[in-house]
Order: sequence, then C-alpha cells, then structure tokens
Amino acid sequence: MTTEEYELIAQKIRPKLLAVGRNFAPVAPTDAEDMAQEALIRLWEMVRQDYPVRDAEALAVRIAKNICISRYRKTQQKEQPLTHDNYSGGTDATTLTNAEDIRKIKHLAYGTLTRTQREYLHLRNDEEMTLDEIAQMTGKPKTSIKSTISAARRQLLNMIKTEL
Amino acid sequence: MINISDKDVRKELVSRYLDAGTTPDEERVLVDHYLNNDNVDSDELPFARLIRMEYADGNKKTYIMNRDKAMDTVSFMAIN
Repeated sequence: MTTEEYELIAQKIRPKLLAVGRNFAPVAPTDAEDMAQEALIRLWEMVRQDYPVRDAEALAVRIAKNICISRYRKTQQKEQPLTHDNYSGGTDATTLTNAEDIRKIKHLAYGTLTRTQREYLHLRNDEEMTLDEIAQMTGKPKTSIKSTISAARRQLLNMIKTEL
Repeated sequence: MINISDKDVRKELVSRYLDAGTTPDEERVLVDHYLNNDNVDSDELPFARLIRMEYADGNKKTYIMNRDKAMDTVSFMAIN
C-alpha cells in the first residue's frame, strides 16, 4: 500500500473511527479525535511492517475498539480504591512470580510456532475473534485459518506431552 | 448451557478445540474449567497444562490460577 493509497483509505474510514470513539465515550474517557488518530497511526505502522492488510477498514475499527477498551481498563484501575478488602485470594507474590515463569515458558513454546500461527493464536485466544472475523481481517480463507490454529494447538499439546 | 462437569462433554469440546472448531463462548467455558478445577483427571492433564500455558498470563481473559496449579505447570515445563 502506498502513502497515497493509505491517505485515501484513512480519509474514508476516519468517520467510522470517530463513531467508535463516541460510542465508548460514556464508559471510557476517550477523545474521539485522539483515538481515531492513534488508530490510524497504528494502522500505518502495520502497513509499513508489511502486515497483510486485506480489509483496512475492519482492521482499523478493531484497533480503535482495542484502544477504547485499553483506556477503559486503565480508568478502572485508577478508580479502584486500595484497601485491604480489595485483595483477592490466591494472588500473592509467589503466584505472581509463577505467572511470570509461565509467561516465559509460553514465550519459549510459542517460539517454535510460525509467525502466522502465533498471529492467529493471538487473534483467537487474546482478542477472542471468531474465525470469520480473522478471515475478514487477514483476507485469508477461513479453512486455512482454522487448520493453522488447529496445527498450532496440537503442536503445543504434543510439546507438553513430550516434556512430561 | 454446557455441562462441563460431564467428561464426555469435555472430551468432545477438547477435540473440537484442538480442531479449532469451538466458538469463543465454548472456549471460555473450557478454559474456565481447566484453570479453576483442582481435580483434573490424569488423562486430561496435558490439555489442562496447555490451557494454563495459553491463558494464564494476564491476557484479555484475565484468568488467574491458584498457586498450586501454577507451580504444577512451571515444574513440568522446566525447559531443558
């Protein structure tokens, strides 16, 4: 995608991004203009990194929603008063340390997957996107995405079994 | 309503999960079960560990596992 093509697309989708920001305004302190700008910058960064963007509009809207959700969560964290009643059970320092270890193990295990497998797993597991949404975003066939995710999950499971 | 306490239901879900054929809602139920159930059958343990590795790191699902399960996952996966 060239700079000119990107600018044309950006102009076209900007109103939709502003609408996303306004929709989230009641729950998240989001300035629609700032959010739209940030979403477009992130889209441009993905384009520059040769991310396979097939549907720029769908991708930009997804980015915009993620930004709004991220800001909403930050607001929740700030507003939560710090009292002894707020500490939930089972999340002491040891547990958090173990969680960090698991994160490192996950990083190592995911290192054996292909970039596409990691991307699709991220979209599926972390972003909770359906196969149809991933297909729409990436422009790849749904069957191909399904088989890629399946292969990745089975590969990780086999790795776990052989480590035992 | 998914009866996740039924082992046959779990087996069917696990099979579809590995085929990437489960919906996000079904996966949520499955993940919740394996992260928060202390009594996992031995034949389900590898899958439980897969789920714990995939989801217990503070991502969007924000699952938190208890210390024993975290220790179990860490100790078995001590990478050589």
